[in-house]
Order: sequence, then structure tokens, then C-alpha cells
Amino acid sequence: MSATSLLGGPIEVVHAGIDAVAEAPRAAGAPVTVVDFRPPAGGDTRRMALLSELLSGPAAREIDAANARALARLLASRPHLVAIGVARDVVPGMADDLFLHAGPPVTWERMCGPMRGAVIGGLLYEGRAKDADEAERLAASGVVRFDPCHHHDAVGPMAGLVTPSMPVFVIEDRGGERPGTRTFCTLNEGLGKVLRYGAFSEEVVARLVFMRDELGPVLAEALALRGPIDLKHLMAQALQMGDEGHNRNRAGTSLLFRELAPAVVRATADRERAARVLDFVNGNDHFFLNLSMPMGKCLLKAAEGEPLSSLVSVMARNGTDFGIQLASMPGRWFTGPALNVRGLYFPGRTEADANPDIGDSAITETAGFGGFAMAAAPAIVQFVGGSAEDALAATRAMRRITLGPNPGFAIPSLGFSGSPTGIDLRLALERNLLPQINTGIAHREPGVGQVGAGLVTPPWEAFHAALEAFAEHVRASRA
Amino acid sequence: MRIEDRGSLQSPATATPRLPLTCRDLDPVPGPISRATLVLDLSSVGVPARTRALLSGEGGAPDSVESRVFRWAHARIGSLVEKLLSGELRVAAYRPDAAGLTGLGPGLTPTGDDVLVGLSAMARRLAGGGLVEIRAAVALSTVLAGLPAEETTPAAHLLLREASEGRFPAVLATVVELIGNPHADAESLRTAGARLAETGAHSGADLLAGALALVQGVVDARESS
Amino acid sequence: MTTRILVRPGCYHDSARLMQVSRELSALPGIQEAVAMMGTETNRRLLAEAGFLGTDVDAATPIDMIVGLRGGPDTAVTAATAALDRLLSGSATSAGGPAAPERPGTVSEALEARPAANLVSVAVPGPYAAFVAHRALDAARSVFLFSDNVPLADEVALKRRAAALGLLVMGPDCGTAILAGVGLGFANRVERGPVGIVGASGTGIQELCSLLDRSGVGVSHAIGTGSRDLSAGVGGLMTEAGLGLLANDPATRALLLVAKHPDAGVAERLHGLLATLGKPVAVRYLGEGRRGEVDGVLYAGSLDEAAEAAASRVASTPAARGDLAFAAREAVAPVGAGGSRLVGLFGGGSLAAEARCVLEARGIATRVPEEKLAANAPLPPGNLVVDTGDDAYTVGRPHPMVDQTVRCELIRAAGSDPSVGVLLLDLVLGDGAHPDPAPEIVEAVAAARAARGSRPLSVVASVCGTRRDPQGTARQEETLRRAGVEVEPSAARAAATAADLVLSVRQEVAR
Repeated sequence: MSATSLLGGPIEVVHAGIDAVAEAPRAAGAPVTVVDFRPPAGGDTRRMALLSELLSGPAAREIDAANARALARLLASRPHLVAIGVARDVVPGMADDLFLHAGPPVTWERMCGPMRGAVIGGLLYEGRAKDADEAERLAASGVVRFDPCHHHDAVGPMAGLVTPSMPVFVIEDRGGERPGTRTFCTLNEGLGKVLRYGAFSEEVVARLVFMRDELGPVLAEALALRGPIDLKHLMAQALQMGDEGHNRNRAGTSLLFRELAPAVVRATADRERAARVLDFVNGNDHFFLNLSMPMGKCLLKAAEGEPLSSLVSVMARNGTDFGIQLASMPGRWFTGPALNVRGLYFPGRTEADANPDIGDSAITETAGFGGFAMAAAPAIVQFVGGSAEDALAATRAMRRITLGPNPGFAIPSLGFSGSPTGIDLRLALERNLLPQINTGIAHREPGVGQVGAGLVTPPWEAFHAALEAFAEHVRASRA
Repeated sequence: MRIEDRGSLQSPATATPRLPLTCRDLDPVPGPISRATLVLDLSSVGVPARTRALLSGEGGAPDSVESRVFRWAHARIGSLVEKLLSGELRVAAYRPDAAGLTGLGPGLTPTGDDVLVGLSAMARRLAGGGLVEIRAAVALSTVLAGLPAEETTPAAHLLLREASEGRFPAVLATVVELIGNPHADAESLRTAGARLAETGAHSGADLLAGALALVQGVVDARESS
Repeated sequence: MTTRILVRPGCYHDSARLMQVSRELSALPGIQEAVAMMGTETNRRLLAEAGFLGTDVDAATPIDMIVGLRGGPDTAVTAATAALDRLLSGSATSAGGPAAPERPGTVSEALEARPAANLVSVAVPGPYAAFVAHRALDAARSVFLFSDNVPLADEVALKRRAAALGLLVMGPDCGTAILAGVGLGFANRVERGPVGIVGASGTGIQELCSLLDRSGVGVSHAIGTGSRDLSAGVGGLMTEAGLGLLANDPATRALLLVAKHPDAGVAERLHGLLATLGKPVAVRYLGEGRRGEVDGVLYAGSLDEAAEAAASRVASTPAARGDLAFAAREAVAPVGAGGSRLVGLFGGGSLAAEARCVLEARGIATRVPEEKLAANAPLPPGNLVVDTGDDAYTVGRPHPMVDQTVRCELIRAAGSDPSVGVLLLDLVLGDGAHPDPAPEIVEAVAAARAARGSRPLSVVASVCGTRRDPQGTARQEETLRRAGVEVEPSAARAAATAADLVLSVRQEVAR
């Protein structure tokens, strides 16, 4: 809009700051839109200068273009469920002495209660320890190594523990620019006392054994018979049926069940065995979560590797730290303390019982659903104490910090507009607005389990660290 | 005015009322239930404030409608529990209290109806465990079946009909089945209770109140005898 | 205490909604109790027992919502009734706040929402101003940058970028601008007309507008550039851009440029541009003497002369006007000044500079006191001309154009001093300025005069404003005149009058 056309009028003003200054244009009858101004980047001068450089400096248009390409690649990805395998055999870099966990790297010493509980449970399940005491000693002795799921293209809810013998979903990109990209996730155990919430009692281990010996193999055979399942397609339908793909997965689970049930029956000679497997899937409203997550990871892997992109490609928590990664610098973590979850607690439970935020499940928000698609799932806003209007507002707010809508994930209550997708680090900082994440709350002690659910955000520290590094990275790349 | 007469004013949901909660049959009771187990269960299950208010008849601001709901419900629950424990077999004996409860209180399924459903579920459970006269439990079910549809909301009426036929909301059934089961651990009962308590706006707490009122009644009766 | 019972037929909501209705109505002022329940027989009896009575309740059925309200006064209950209907109609506000469209959180978002907006006005604290202005340039919009305290490096970066993009950054520290008839900041309401103004001085532009308006000449555009534009650091980037725009603007037939203390090198470079614009140009560099016409560019000795020159170039029949050098002014009849000293107390910084220049030209030396003037401290010696809009006087309070408290205190104090014979003042009108400044000034002058007893005090003021300004220029002038204040149409003329007064007092004393 050149200055010459400005003189031609009519003048329309956008105003930020002292209101008296906007009096004159109003008096002249010009439309004036007043901005609710807040200092960008929290008003920190140094960060503001870095941010201004990235938004308005010479590199800004290149970053915009890189982000547009990253988003286009994310949107073109078509994650399919192609197989169910054993972690040891299919997860890249998996080894017999390796346990994968949620979030950024963490040592046994710094692990939170539920994460330790899950490690204990994992050692019991793998038959490496007889009891919890022995498992604890083993874990501290360094006999198993720990590594983030994300370092192996995997994701895991809550503690996110993946041990070598666990069955895992294998997701493969069947579209986009890099077909064949694979991501992984364990199968969901259900609610109540489960390993991912740090429980390790006999029933927990027994369930894991059932999953290894029966659920995994039966579903693997059924899937082989049925053929790959287009997860993006399933997710798109689930969003129109009241799921957001993170805290609510009832529709996705039902759709998956429909896809799998006939094949399970056909693939299984033993009727009871088939029934047990189908009962298990049917009885767990969150079964689809462990597919929505690796689907999100697959979408984001498609966006990675764009050298100047400020798109946030990972958000993950280990219960101690919250870490994020950028599509331009895959593998590099920027961390801050995991925050407490604002939410509803089960009766008798309070914030004092709660562990700080934990799990790789924030990959759903990173990929543009979960909390970002809250408007699709008013039922769970009720659950966290809000109204349906709050759900719409939450999704609208996330539009402010994302690169664009995902037309594949249409939200009925917002006129079938696409779910806001692709967090731009720069916009979050400029607008002082953090991504909103839906999440469950684990008890802080090992072995107890879930105590509630609610909403959480990343810590600003992680975004600030990413800003510093990204600014440096952009300078270096363009030098 | 009948429901059918006001079609134009109804939302589609009203025109074809649906069950607010998925219902199922109760599992059969494996054997006699001991009072000691019930005492233990009562201490394990978490009791939300609303449930406690219904059990005690005390709660809400003085003279508020809410406090009256608690008082009304409490008096009638007490009377029903007493009749069940005394082995009252006549259906008519249960009717006045049940009629006083149906349609009482806030919600899509009013408090009174939820209490009746909870009470009936527990009556069946304890009848199976030998602590309540089976024919008394059946009499209560029969009364539920006969409560007039126009005295409560369509959703609550469906729920009462399901209950009278022995089908109960799954969240309630899980709790009821864990009570009096010596092999169930306290943790599962607490978790199931918590899940029930957070169902709906009030319904979970109200269902739980109905169920626990009878358990409390059995425990108290045995103590005094 | 009022109880009311309402029936909303066929309002079959889920339990959470009922609970929300109860909760939100209970939270309203004056409401003691609000219950929303379905209209079952039992509930109706219960509510009746609780004192909620009403005839239409009897017809309620289990698929109707009944709401009981208790509270006082009656109006509170009525308000709650209205709130209920809003809640049920869905236009309700939840506990989370209004669902109404919120203000955009950033300039970028506001521009997305208003694609036709062509100008971004920025008046945020200095440290954030450059960030916001850059975001406007990102969206290819010109900027009016009112904020001050913007680092010079940021100003240079903004203006270079804007120049490359063919956009304007008017500021920082830009007090006024008028574009296509729309004022920004402190702006006078002018008729649209043939004279274009580019100015690095806010009150300088306002004074030109005021003078042109008094001649019946309108303004096409007034492009502010910010006070530092003609410094060596900035190099006149926006002055050049503004002049270029106006040179090509078909509505502009003559140009005026006003700035304070331009850098010599910048002024020299700019002269080359001014001489080749192809339209008549008059320049007023405040604080400098008259240079007359150089290569067809008039370097005027006052804002008055510059405005007059522009007006005469665009007027179809040039009107006969007073001599711009004030040589042939009719003699001022002194009212018998009580002292020989002059004190000028200004709201407009450029107007103070203009006054100083005129006074010096008349042989009256003035000084700016080193210490800031205070009402309770003795007045420093000599003829004083003070800009009360200077930072020293405005820390923690609005500009004297908006809040005259400090200036009025100083008028009282200086006016009471018997060694002072003449007070010189300005009033700046327009949008953004004080809504009715004259009465406060008159009151302060009256107080000062009262303190002096029989010793007379001459007061000369200029009013910078237009006929359409909301304060009413004529009314302001009339208020001043009635209080015995000599009113002149410009700061320069007021200064000239004040000078005559001082000189006549001196002559009297000499005799």
C-alpha cells in the first residue's frame, strides 16, 4: 500500500497506544481500529530486538517462505498405520539395554516419580528385576540406558516408556515429499493403574504381558490382512465426531475398531482370543491416542529440515523438563521446567498430589490438533470446567500463533475451518501467547497413577532459549 | 400439557429423549457379603461433598432451595432404607417416598431420580449378598417401573425404567460391584468412586448417595443390633 | 427482598447448562439465590415451599426450565431476568468473559482484520515503538509514530526501510499530521485545500494550519516527519519522501516546509531538491533569520511569512495583507506596563522558538533559564522565554497542551513579580488538546494581576487554531480579550506586540 495511495484517501487507521492520539482521526470520521497493545516478548529489550530482526529484518521474508514450505509439506503428509511390530525389531536404534522415555533427555537422578515408576515397571515387565527394590537399584546402576522416544522417531504418552519387547504401531508416510518416513508408538494400556502413569503393580505388568503376547500379535495379523489404514482420514472423521485427538479419543477409537474388527475375527482361529483383543480395544476410549500421536509425529517429521523455518516441530515433557524443537534444527532441544497442570482433580486429589506436566502427547498440539482443535470437542471443556464457548475461544486463540489452517482437519463448530496448524515460534513470542496443551495429570509418586486432567502450557524459558538459538542459526545460515 | 403437544418448542433432543448414561446389567454376586467388608469399603470410597450432604441432609446455604433438596431427599432416602432393611415386601409401602423423590432437584436427571437408581442398584447387590431381603429389592424395582412419566424429565424416566429392569449406568455398576467384594482393592474402589463422582453435573454424586445410603444403613443397623 | 419465578418453556438443557445458569445468575449483583431446575411436580412443590411463588409455574412441565430468583432491589432481579434470557438465547457470556469480538492483540492482526486500513498510528512507550512500526512496514502500511524516546538507530532503520518500500514513517516524536483531511495526534481541523505542508515540528505545522485557515486557505496534506528528521543522523529521509509525495500530488499547488534547527549539510542537500520540485515552496527553519528567496525557494523569517507566501501563491486574487516583517504595524497603545521585563510561557515548543526569534530581531535579548522555573522560587533575571512542554516540566504529567496546571502556576508566579511588565502566552487548540483552555489561563492572569495591586500587567497571547476546531477559536479569543489579554493571530505577531510593549516601557523609563 504505497504512500501515494495513502494521500488519495480515504484514510483508515489502526492505532496502538495512548488513546487520545486516536481522537483526531475519529473526529474526522475515519475508521479507527484500536489494538490491545502488550509489549512483545514480554517487553524484554534484548529478546524484542532479536524477534524484530526475525519478523521484520532482512531474513524475515526468507523465514516466511521456509515456514510456508514446511507447512505445505506437513499438509501433504499421509501417515498410514502399516504394521505392528516389536520395538526391538522395528524402532531404529533400539537395543536390549535401551529404554525410551517421553520428553527431552533426563537421567535417572532427575527423573520424576511417575517416570521412575514406569522404569521400575518396565524392568519388571522385561524380567530384569524380581521386585521394585531390585528394579530401582538396577535403574540407578546404569544397567539400562535411557533415551528420549523422539530420538528414535517414536512418541509415548505420559511417561512414554518403550522397552525392547513392547509391541509398537508402525506409522509410515504414504504421501508428501518423503514417502516412507516411519514413526512409532506403543499400544495404549487403558485408564486406571497403568505404566504410563508410573504404576507398576502386578496387574500393570500382567496387562503389558497380555499386550505383548496377545494384543500385539493378533492386531498385527489383522492389520496385515486388512492392509494399511489412512490415519489422517480417520482423524479427520474423529474431529467431526467430538474428538480433539488428545484428551478425547472416543470417536477415533470407535472408527479404528470398525476398521479392525472384521480382520481380527478373520485372522484369529481362537474366538476367545479375538474377543479378548476386541474387548480390550473397545474398553479403552484412549486406544486411538497412541495412533493420533505417532500420526502427529509423522506429519511434523515431514515439516522438518527446512533450514530457516521457525515452525515448532516437537513439544515434549519428561515430568521434569519441557522441551521443544524447531523444524530448522531437528534434534536440538530447548528446555525449561515442566509446569503444573491447571485442571480438575479426582475427588480427594489436589494439586499437591500432582506431578508436573509429562508426556510426548503434546505432539498432537504441535501437529495442529489436541488442544488446538478444542472447538471440535466441547465435551472435554466441560470436563476441565469450561463452557463450549471457551472451546471455540481456545481454538481461535491458537490461530494467532500458527502458520495456517489444516483443511484436512475441519472443525464443524467453526464453520468447518481447518484446525490451526504449525506453531510459529516468532508469533508466540510476539503475541505473548503460548500453545495450549490438553493433558492428563499423573500422581507425583511412582506407582499411583492418574489424579486428574487439565490444561497446561510450555514454560516461556523453552521459547526464549529457542529464540536465542534460532536467531543465531539464521545469522549463521545467511552469513 | 403433554410432551407431544409442544413439539414446536422442543429441541430435537427433547423430542426423542436419550439415556444420559450407558446402562448395563450388574454382575452376579459370587457369595455372601460380610458386614466387615462393607465397613472397610465405606472408608475406602471417597465421598464428595454433595453426596455427603444428601446422606446427612445438611448442606447448602440456610433456607436455600439447595438445602431443601438435601433435606427432602435425605428424609425420603432414610425412610426407603429403613423399609428395605426391615424386609418390607409391599410395593405400595415404597411408593410415597419414591414419588417424593422422582423429579426432585436440579439436573437433566433430577437428584431424586438418581438417588432412587443408586439405591435400587445397591439393593440388588446386597440382596445377592444376603444382606437385604430379595423381595424387598424387587418391590423397590417395581415402584420405579410404575412412577408416572410426567412426574420427571424424559431422560430420568428412561433411567428409572432401565433400573427397574436391573440395568444401571456403567459408572455406577462398577462401583456397586466393587462394594462387598473382599478381593477388590481399596484403590480400585476409590478410583471407580471418583470416576462416578465426576460424572455429569450432579448425577454421579447423587447416584453414589443412593448407593452409599443403603450400605451405611446396613452397617449402622448391624452395629446397633 | 424480591422473589421471582420464571418459566422458560421447552428449554431442555443438559445438567451442566442448568448448573451454569444457576451459577452465573447467582453471581450477579444483588442476587442472593438463583436456582434453575426442570419443572417437575416435585420441584414446583419444593420451590413453592421455599417461597418462590408464581401462577405460571403451575403450568410448567418436566421439559420446561423453571428459574427461581431471590434478591434485591427489584431492579437487580429484573436485571437477572434479562441476563437469563441472554444466557438462554446463546448470546450469553460465559464465566470466561464476553464472546463479543475482542480487540486485536497486535497491529499485524488488526491489519489482517481491516485490510483497507492504510495507516498505522503508534503511540506506545518508546522502547516498543520501533518493533510495532516495523510490523506495520511488514504489512506495507505507512506509520504515524507519535512515540518519543525511540533510539536514533531505530529511527534511521525504520526510515531507510520505509523509503525503500515507498512508505512513510512520520516520526518518532511526531505530534501531528493531516492526510486527506484526516488529522492524527494533536491536529487542527482544516479545510482541504491547495497547500501541502511537510514539517519536523508539530506546533510548527499547527501554526501554519492556523495561519492558512485565517487566510481562508485549506491544506491538502500535512506530513509530519518527527523532530530529528533533519538531523545529520537521519539526513532528512522522510522530509525528502514527504516533499516528493506532495510534489506529485495533484491536490497540492504550493508547499511549505517547517523544521527546527536543521543540520547544515542536510539543509544544503535538501535545497537542491526544494529548488527542483516544480511547485512554489516556502521554508521556515525555526530559530533562523530570514534569507529571502534563493533559487526560487523562499526562506522565510517567520511562520507567518511562509504561510502568507503560500497563501498568496494559491489565491486567485491575492488579498492585501499586513507587512510580514511587522514594520508598518499600527502602534501598540501600551496599557502602562508595570515593569520592564518580559516572560514568555509557551505550550508549543516551536512557538517559543518563533517568539524568541522575533524578540531578538527587535533587539530584546531573551534567555532560557538554566534551572527550571518553579512557582515557589524567585524568578531568574532577564527576559525569559520558556517552553513548558519541555521534558523538565512534563515528567510524570501530560503535555501543557492537555494539562495547563503547571503553566497556570507559573503565570501566577511570574505575573505577580513586579519586575515583570509583559507576559507572552500561546494557546494551542485542536483535537487531542485541552478542551477549553482560555478560562484557566484567564483565571491565572486575574490572580497574578490581583497580587500586583495597582501595578498593571500586560498580557499578550496568540491562539493557534482553526474555525472548525472543537474548542472554537473565536470563543477562546473572546474569553481572553474580555479578560484584558491582547490577542494576536500568531505567535510571531504576539511576540512582536510584546516587544513593542517592552520597548515602550523602556522608553517611558528612559524619559
